Amino acid sequence: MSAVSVKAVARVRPELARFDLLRFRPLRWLVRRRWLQFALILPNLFIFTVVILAGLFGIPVGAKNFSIIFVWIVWWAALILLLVPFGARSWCAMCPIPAAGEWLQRGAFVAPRRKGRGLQRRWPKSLRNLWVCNFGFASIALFSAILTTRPIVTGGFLLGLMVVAIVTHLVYERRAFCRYLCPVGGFLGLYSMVAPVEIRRVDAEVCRKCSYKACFRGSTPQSLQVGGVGGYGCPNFEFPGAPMERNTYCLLCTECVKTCPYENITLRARPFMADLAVEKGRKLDEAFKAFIMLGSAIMYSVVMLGPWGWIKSWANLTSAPHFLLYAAIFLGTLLVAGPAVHLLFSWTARGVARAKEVPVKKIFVEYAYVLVPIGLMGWIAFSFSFVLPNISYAVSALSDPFGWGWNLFGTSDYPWTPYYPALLPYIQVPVLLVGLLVSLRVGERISRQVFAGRTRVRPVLVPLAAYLLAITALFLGLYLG
Amino acid sequence: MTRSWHLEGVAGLLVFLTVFALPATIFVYQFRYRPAQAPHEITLVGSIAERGGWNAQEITVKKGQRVRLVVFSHDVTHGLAIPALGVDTGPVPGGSSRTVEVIADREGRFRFRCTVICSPEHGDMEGELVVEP
Repeated sequence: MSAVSVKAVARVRPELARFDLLRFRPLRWLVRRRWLQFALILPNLFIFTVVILAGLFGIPVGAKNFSIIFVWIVWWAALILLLVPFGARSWCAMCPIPAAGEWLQRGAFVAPRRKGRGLQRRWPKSLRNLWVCNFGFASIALFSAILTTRPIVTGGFLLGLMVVAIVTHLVYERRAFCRYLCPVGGFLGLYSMVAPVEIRRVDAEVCRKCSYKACFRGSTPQSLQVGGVGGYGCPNFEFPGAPMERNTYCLLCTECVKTCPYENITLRARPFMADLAVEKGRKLDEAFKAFIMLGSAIMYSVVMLGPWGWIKSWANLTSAPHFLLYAAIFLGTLLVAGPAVHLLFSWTARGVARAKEVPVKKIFVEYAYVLVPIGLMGWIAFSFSFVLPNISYAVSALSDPFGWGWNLFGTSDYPWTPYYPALLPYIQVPVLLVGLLVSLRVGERISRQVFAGRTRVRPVLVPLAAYLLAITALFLGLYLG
Repeated sequence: MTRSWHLEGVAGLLVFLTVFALPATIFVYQFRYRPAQAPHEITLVGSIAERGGWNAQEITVKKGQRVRLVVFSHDVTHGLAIPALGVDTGPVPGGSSRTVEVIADREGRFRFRCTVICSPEHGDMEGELVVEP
């Protein structure tokens, strides 16, 4: 089948553009092991333990401290350059931060238990959204100049997150922390929509007839008599059989693959950006997550890469009045200016499409997803700008994680070596242009959904292109200027 | 069921080793074992004088002690010399470190200074190594 006809078929029946990865028997065997998630978490728990210890007790110089180098350069690079674009929320499946809380809540490390521990309260209905994540991320991002350079702040922050996760797991059911509180999980969910993997049901009819709903409720003796290896209901409150149509809240923990008595849930490869075509589930809180993430990428580029020394020192908390001014600029950009520009675009799009009956709020929310590819690519371009120059610090930090003069692997004196700084623009420009083109493509599809049945969809693409070009030009100006 | 408990036991042991035994090993190694084995190690971090200079303006050691000085340049190229003791790291580029060993075989106060003109206030990048009896 030619590429064009595959594309045409995929448009009519999207499931045909998917490939069932669990057809590979070794992978199918692995995913159905109960110890898989534990085996993924344990090495990261080891690294995070060293990170917290180094942060709290190691040398206060960021460039010599494992906590700063491994969290904000190595982990961040792995997350934004590899795990999210290619593995969706795979980090959530191996994240050590909620692990202790989850183990305490379950009363087990590996084995499934029917009865959980702790208070098992339901998460408050009014907070079942991303707003806490959004404001949490924005607040943390505000202090990023401190957080990413001072080991004791990084160590304390990660320890604090672990404590909050433990308390949340002991009070509320499932992984409420990951779904509603984690500042990282919020943006991983947003950007995981681009990834070429998904966990989904295979046959809708099987799910419709299933009376166990083990993917949501967890395995029962009855469901296990039919099949499945036993496991918990979705820790992140998703119902894969319902169906789950986007990656946003899927932690890729594979519990549903283990619990389904009919082996009707699988892990699939799919085209990039597939979830951005899904209309169902678009919400204002997710839209704001997109503004916050894009705004943060722009503001970080201004503060960390721009030539304006004054804003660097304001961000570094050199004086309280200056920091308050910086907070106003930073939060104003993320929460007011970005959404205001988007609102202006939404009004323009409605006017151009001559669709007065389509609510502006709908246009505002739906078109926010156009910012997902360009936002992710903006983050990738920004990350290259500090990962390539600084990743060499990891070599010496590995040998001397605490800055105590250790030389575990004989590399503690490895000099700081910026890798390929001259190549940076050649990486950043294509990355940003790909983001622009993909966002335009997504925007075209969203236009057809928002203004369905209208002939005047094409004119909307003009203000949309101008809007996205302006964002790309801003990034290019910051990186090349 | 037995297999499940066996797996839980192994998992629990691995978590215990990671969360409790690992930190304990690190601290015992650093604060009990190393001081007895290795020379006294001091890390001197150099930033330009406008940003604070050396992280310690005075270092105190005991007479006869073998001292390992790790000199790390935080921003631009610095260098450290203690002329009276014949110590010179040479230029240490920003973001890297050099290690030199000093045997404090005589009492006194010995000035150390930056050997690279690193900023307009380079002259202020000085300190003292104090060797006590």
